[in-house]
Amino acid sequence: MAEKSTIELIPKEVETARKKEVFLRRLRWGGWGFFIFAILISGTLFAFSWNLSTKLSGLKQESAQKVAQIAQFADLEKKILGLANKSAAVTRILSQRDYFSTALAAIEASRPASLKVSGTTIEKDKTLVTIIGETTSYVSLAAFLQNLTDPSRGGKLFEKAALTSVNLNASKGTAEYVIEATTGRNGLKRPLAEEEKP
Amino acid sequence: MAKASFLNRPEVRVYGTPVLFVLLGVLLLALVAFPSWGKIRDLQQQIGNEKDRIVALDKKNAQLLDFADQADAIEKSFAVFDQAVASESQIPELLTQVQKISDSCGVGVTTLQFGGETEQSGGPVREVRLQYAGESSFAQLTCLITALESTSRLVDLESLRYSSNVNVETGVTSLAAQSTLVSYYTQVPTLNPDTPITFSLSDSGYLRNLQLLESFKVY
Repeated sequence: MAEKSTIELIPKEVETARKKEVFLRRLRWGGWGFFIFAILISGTLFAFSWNLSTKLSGLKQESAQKVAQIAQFADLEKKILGLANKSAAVTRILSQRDYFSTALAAIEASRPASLKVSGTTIEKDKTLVTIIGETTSYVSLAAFLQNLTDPSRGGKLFEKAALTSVNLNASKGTAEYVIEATTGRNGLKRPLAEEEKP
Repeated sequence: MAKASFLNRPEVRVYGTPVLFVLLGVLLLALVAFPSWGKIRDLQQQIGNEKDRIVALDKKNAQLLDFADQADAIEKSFAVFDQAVASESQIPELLTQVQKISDSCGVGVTTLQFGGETEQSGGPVREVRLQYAGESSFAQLTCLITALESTSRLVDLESLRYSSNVNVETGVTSLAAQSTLVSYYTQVPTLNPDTPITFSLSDSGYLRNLQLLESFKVY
């Protein structure tokens, strides 16, 4: 019995060439495809950005028109901003103001008739008020010290009053004194609501 | 010759076209697509900002139209506030005001001079300082201080020091007072269309200040 051998009808070279041809065809299509894809993506993005640029330009024109409309009210806007600045400044100034007249009134309200106040020093944002003067009576001086912290007299303003020196002036027969009176924190300030009747 | 021989090489003839298209595609993506993508994000941001700006400008425009209807009231109020806190230093006018107040209280002015200007931190307010000295009785001095505290152009006292002096010739005792006075002014604001208007004529603080300033005395 004769052996049946396999007969290869297509030569190997032809088979290889065919596979190479298929690979090359795919490579060509792939290259084209990628190129077309790149064109589409780039074109779409470029067109979109161009569209946005046009839109932005339109919006800028619109806002320029609004700015021009606002500019027509320049004088009025200056007045309004000025009012806002000045009102804020008034609030700040008056709320931070120290009313020195309050201190003078408190000293005068505490002073006994026989005692003389010959000098006072008051400074903004300081709680210490220095009072100097002379008296012929130590009793008056003691009363003055007491009155300065008496709530019905100077005590509305002063929390403490201390005698820092007393010198007897023998030629005049008087005692010269120095008192340091201390106000509360912000004692010379007034809340703005109370400003209406200065 | 060299160029022709390179193009005629078999591998170039076979693979050249697809590789060329891939390279062109990459170039397109690198030179057009990626920059456009970045630009799109930037433009979208700018468009968002511009839309917000238009909304703010519209609001400001509407506010200004409202204020325009009340222009007379604004004008009157501005005059009152400008009297209290001037738009310029107006030093001669300030000196005149202090002199008039002193005269009205009977205080004899011995020194009244401009002591310089400073800027307050954190605001448009500038301070004008005056050095003041005068002679008076205690009652006159109290009158002066009280008047300064309620004068139409705001004047603060930074310090007050007084002592009694006896006139050797007449034997009359008087008080010699020295003080540093501070007044204020705000400079004319610089307009910027993008600055919003936060001020309102119905603001309680503004109305209180207006009422208060109207009660102050004009010298």
